[in-house]
Amino acid sequence: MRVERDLDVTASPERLWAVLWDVPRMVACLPGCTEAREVEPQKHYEAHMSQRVGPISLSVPMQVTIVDVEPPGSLALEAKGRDGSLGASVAMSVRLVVAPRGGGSRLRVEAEGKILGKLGALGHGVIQRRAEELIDEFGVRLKRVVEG
Amino acid sequence: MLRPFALHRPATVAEASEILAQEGRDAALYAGGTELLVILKEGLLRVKSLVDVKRLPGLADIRADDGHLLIGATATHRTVEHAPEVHARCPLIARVARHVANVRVRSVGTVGGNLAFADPHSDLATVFLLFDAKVRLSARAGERELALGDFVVGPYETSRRDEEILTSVRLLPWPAGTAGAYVKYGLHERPTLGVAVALTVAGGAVRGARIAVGCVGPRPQRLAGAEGRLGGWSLADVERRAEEVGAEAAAAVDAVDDLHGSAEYKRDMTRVFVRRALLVAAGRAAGRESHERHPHTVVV
Repeated sequence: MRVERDLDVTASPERLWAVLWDVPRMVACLPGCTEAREVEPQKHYEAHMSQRVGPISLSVPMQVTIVDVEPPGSLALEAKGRDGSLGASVAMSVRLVVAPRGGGSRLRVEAEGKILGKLGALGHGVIQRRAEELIDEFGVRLKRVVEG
Repeated sequence: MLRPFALHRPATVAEASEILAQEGRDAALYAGGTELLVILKEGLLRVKSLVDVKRLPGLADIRADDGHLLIGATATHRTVEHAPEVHARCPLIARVARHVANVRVRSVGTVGGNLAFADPHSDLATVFLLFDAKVRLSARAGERELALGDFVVGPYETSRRDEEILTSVRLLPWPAGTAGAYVKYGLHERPTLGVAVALTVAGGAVRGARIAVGCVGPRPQRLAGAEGRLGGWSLADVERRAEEVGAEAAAAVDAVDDLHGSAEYKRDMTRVFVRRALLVAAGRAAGRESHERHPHTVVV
């Protein structure tokens, strides 16, 4: 599934970039993401992702890799992991682009994700909607951090 | 493979709620098991215990209740199909029950289980929306009643709290002079789309219309805009202009891409099937039964 969102914040592009480039802090804005930590500075990170769809819980240790960075304008990362007990694999690629807008800035989020395994039996629709909710909540939390 | 679990067999709803309160999400309610056992065997759900509510007294009752039809949560689809109270008060429900899933599911699957599992590709919740359904939830602390539209919040998600048990659903029978239809379409085991409509006709004109669409989005929906358009129309108007209502429904419906098809496809199918369902209902209101048939379609 693919989710694209534009998020306007009152903070300057430099301020927004500073929060995004603090990867553990940025990743922690994603709901269900905890224990974000740096493995190799500005290259590899780890985080734990927990999500719930109705009665089903997903718990995935994620490996996050920065694949492209052009400070202070864009950041691309890939994240993947596997929930052993559910037999589900998660893979995401996310691109974040910062641009000035008015007195503040605009963040463009382009996320593309895949869930493989039995969880796919639930249907793409459930997962697509959940992914949209996650990105929207990420935007709300990030805005709070950046503007707060 | 089914993993080991403890099986609780409480004697009362209060006792069942007590167990759920203690064990939280380590426990799952078990009635017919037609949905639950599938996700347990697939390993998608892991619980330490099941709380069997099949034998709880009174929970399978079907009866009149203050002008409503009350269906107990553990009543099976098969029981609903044959219950005289359902035929007398909400006959469309009895006919739909006959077409839920397959005969094995209908024999053991329960109405409460179907609603509480909240699979978006299901028939009952869509049809129940036409009867202003309210679900009753019981816990040690007491009871509450919720409109079905507030109970089902999304795919597989409801507003039931961990310690609550869905005990019954109450349906408000239609006023006299109402004709309804449920049309579902699907190539897979579960329906791709379900449309339920009802027209209340008095003095030759539509005085009330109900349209619900299910399976195409995260949860079934009533479409007030499309319903409103039918007000005051004659049955001849309905037959001539059903397409307009279908188009309005298609524009308003919340559709998502899934393994059954794209959102765009589902919106277009909503347009087609709202029109077809309206034609069936309008025919019935005029005392005619449509014999038009379409592939992979069940007309109830």
